[in-house]
Amino acid sequence: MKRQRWADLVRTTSFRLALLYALLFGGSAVVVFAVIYWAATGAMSDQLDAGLDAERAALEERYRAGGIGAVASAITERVAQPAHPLRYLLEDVSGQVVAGDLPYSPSLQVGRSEIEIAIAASTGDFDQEHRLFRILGIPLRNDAFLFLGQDAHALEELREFVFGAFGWGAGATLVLAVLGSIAMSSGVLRRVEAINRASERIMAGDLDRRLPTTTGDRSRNGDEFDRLAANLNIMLDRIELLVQGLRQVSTDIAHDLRTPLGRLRRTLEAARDGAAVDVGSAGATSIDQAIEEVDALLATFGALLRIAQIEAGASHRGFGPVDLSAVLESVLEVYAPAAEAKQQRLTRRIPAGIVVPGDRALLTQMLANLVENAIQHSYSSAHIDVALRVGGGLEGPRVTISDDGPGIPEAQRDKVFRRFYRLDTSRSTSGNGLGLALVAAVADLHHAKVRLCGNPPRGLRVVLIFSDATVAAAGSAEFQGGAL
Amino acid sequence: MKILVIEDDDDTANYVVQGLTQQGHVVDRAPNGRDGLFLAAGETYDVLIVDRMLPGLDGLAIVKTIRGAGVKTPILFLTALDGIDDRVEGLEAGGDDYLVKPFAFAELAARVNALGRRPALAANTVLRVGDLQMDVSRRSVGRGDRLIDLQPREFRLLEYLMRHPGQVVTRTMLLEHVWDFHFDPHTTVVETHISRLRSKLDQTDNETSLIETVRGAGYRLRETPALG
Repeated sequence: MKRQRWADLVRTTSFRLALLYALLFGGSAVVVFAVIYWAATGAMSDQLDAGLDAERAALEERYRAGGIGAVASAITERVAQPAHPLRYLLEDVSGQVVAGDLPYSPSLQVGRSEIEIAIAASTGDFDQEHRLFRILGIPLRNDAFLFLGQDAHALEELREFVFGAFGWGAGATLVLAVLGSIAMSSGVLRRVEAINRASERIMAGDLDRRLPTTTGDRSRNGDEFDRLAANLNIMLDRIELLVQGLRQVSTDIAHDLRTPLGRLRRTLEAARDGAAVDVGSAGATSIDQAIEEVDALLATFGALLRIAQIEAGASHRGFGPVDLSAVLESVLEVYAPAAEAKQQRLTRRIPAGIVVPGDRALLTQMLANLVENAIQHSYSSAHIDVALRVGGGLEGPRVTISDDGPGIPEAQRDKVFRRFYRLDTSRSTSGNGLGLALVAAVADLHHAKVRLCGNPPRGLRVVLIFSDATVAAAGSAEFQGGAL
Repeated sequence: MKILVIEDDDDTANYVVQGLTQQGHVVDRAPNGRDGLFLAAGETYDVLIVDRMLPGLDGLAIVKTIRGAGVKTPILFLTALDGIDDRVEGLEAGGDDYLVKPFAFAELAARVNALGRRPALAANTVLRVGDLQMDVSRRSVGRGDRLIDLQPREFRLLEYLMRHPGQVVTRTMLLEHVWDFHFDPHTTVVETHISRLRSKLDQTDNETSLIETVRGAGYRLRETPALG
């Protein structure tokens, strides 16, 4: 468990990012230190070299004037001074030391070099210590070799100091980076783990569960994890609703189709019994009834399929400019006989020539369903009013269908758009409970809003509001050009 | 009439072939698109009945090919699809009518009859059925010497009936062609208009009813006034 947790931590993006930053940071620190190093030690070396060069020039002058003997005496004279800054070694061609206080070392060579040389320690008489010397080796014609040595202890110390500083600095940076990334990623990991645990629960079937956030399940105000979780929660809400809807529909289909199938079975039984007794009109009537029943069932399935197609397809292929005024007029004409039969008053206020983009057949069916509902669910001698108004502000055209029938209780106004949902009061009337579901689907396809509200003093008012964008599209030459 | 049925499902094909044969038509059947295309190109038919979904070559492609070859035979699409675009697609491909499965046989028979006799009457602007005359361009109707005043919708209804004299015309055909309704509106609008039309057409006692009701199918405009 512990090891697994560690592995998880190392795998997190934030940990890797933190490490990457640590590396980048370390890299730039190395560059900075290198620059400082070269600058500081370079300046010091130059200073040392300048001292050596001056001495070389002086001694070479002596050599030209008096030969090797003059140089040897000059060296002896300098070494005798108590605090002389340089050390000397003069060798003849055979390798014999002629003069000087620089101990011999096999690494001595012509030109510039840095060599560690053992010299008597300044503290004790018998101890030796290794010190770094900056050496300049000069051949004096064919007679001898002159080596000048400058104590480079300060230079060495400077180098050590710079390296030490770099080591500590880099070490501290690395440790801080690793600790920081562990802290950061374990925080992230905790959040992600919580989300993972919650989603595992949801996957296991606990659909009510939501992902944890620090600010409230659906608030988008928190950090990126909160916003992610909030969005996922909203998505889960929608999925849950869809799943519920699906369950609801399956149950409703089973329930609603069992009733007519039962009636069909009874009718067919009666036909069989009737046929056994007398092959006459009774049998024929039963068969007609059975066919009617089957037709109604087929119509229900047809409507279900159609709703599903409209909802899933969002097909705009059949779209073109539709004269809403004309469609409404023809729908009202079609339903006038039905209203007349119930002695209902059907009034209209429809200005001519209001056009929306849409599918003519679907808009016709949607409006027909709404008018049919008003007629069917209102009492006889009720008043039904259909009005069409030009849009204002941000809204497009608005169709209002009002009746003074029994209305729909406020609590149930959302539910009536569900498939097969029927008010208790309308159970007795004919219809398959799919009319408003189809209305909702078609309205959605046309980006129109359907609102149900009361029609005081009593009754229902259905308001269908097309969006302004669709009107603008219908008005534009481009859209009309495309549709023609 | 000579009819070709291009349908892969044996049950549906037999149902259609049997029914149409009983009505006195000569019916050929092709079980797939290739045979169908072959028959349609080779023989002369009065009506083609084409299933929209066929194995191999589908109905839309067949109809496009047939129309591309210049064959003008009326075509009725049969389909299990009732999508928003399917009807439009079928008609655009060159189909003349569209019937969604499952259907009542009476509906199919009425539509086949309507299609089979369509071309001769489609272009006429003056129609005559029995003692009934209609001038479509002048929008006037008369029976014998009597002029009849009709509302626009009643006029369109009568025009449709007069373009299919002696044929059964179903309620859905009337809804589609007279009202442009492609679904069943559950109202008696057709019945109401037919009865209004009847009362305007048959005013005097010695005039026989011109529009008869065919039980379980639809309406028919008599070509010759019945005796008595």
